Amino acid sequence: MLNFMNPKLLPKITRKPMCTENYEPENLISTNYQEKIRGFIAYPSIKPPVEIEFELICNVNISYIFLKTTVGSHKCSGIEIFVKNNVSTCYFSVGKAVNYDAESLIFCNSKQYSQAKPPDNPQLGNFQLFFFKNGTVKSYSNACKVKILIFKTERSVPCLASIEIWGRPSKNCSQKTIDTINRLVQSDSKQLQIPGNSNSNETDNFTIPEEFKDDLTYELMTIPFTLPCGKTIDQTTLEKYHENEKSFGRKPGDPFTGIKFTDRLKPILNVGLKSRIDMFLLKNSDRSETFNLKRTLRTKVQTDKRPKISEHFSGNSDLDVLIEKAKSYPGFTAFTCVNSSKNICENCKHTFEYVYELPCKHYFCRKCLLDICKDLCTKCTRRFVNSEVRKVHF
Amino acid sequence: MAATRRLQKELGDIKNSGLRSFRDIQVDETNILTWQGLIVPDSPPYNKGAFKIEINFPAEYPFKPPKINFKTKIYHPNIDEKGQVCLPIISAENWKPATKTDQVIQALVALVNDPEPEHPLRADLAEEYLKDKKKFTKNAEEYTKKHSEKRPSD
Repeated sequence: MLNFMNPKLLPKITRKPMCTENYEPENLISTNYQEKIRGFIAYPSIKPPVEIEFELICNVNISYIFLKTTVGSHKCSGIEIFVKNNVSTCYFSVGKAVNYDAESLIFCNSKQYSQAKPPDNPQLGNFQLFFFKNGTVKSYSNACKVKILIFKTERSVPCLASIEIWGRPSKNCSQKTIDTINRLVQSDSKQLQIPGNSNSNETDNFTIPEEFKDDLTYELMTIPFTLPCGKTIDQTTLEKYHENEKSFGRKPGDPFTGIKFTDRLKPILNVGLKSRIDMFLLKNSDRSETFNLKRTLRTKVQTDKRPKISEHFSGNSDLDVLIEKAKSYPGFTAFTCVNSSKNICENCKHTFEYVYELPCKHYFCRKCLLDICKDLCTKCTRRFVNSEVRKVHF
Repeated sequence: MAATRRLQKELGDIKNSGLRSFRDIQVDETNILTWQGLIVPDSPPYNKGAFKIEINFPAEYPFKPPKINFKTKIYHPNIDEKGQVCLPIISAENWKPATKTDQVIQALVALVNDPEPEHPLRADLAEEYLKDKKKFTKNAEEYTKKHSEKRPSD
């Protein structure tokens, strides 16, 4: 069985989206190791769906397709695979995966493989298994073009870390074609250029400074938080710890001292350290070690404790009820619609830039308030104290 | 995996620290989640032998505690016939992610040296330990001689 994405078998990319510089889809079929492990990332402003079309050397009977869909912190969560042979004009969908957890996916032929017996390949790592749709045998057993459609991502840019298409030349390939393929596979002219000795010396010197590492997991931090005890850990670590604590019914606290957090004693985002980590990653962005490190694409907005407006109002169509509800909503600010005539002092009847409101809702200018009213409203003779007077602008 | 980096660091630290009571640490290169080592107690009746233990770290380490198992039979009120140990600092509800494996090992060595008959896993041994210490010591010594591993020479 052969991997038809092997550069020796001359796969071609016939359709590709805009991509981020240095993360071209050609990386996926590159002979250069450094390029190959970089993978493909679409141009940052591109939203799914994104299509990449590969052309294979001949018609292939596909056994399985392996896709790694995580590049750094970019992650795709919806993938659909289409295939086409060189005669037909349209593509057929053979498999679809959405909202999976694993880093990698395998789409395979359910006749050859099962959950208990996944494709045997030591490089696969952690993956989730999907099967080709029923009734698509004709399509995937004789495919010369494969189209990958990324239709959903996890708040990131569409990406693809690697793709392998394993199978055999299909039955209707001529003996000549098969011979050619065998010759290509055996040729060692285009060996993968694995980084040489000069490179490996360089990588030995690469170390992540201790201060950039999480004090609990020793991983490089993405969003560093400093705890009340002075240690610094990553946001994900803190969240995981709190999730665990919650399962024992305990409140969030410091994982080192066990002291519960309060309004004054709580983890603080270490902005300085964050910028130093980002600078470090930026400076070392050409090193292969940093390709797979997590980094922030955009700031995660912390979810507000307040209920969302939509939740607050759902399930009710009566407008009056909605308005009443809106008034009780914690974020509601009452903008009373007041006539501009209220900018008039009720004593001297002049218009002012602002007036003073008494608790009895009568309005006076400063002069009248000080000279005439003192602590008694002249309109309604109600008493008031100074602290009850409000300055109002209409 | 989240656990790998932390375990690599802890393993390095323990090997460098030269703990006298925990030796011969063996870790499979393909699976850093399982460690084996030799507990070398220094108080009687266990100071005549050494005891092989296995530490199993969960994939969620350090958020979940490791598990310790005795591979060598031991006559001890807090360690049962299957090799399970009752160690409070690695119980699920007491576990703190900041606890280091060397602290866990030190707690374990302390428990082996000084049994806690108040919280026994083997009630029969705890009773014997409390009522007839001499008999317990004699039995434990014999058991240690019969079953335990050889102590490292240095």
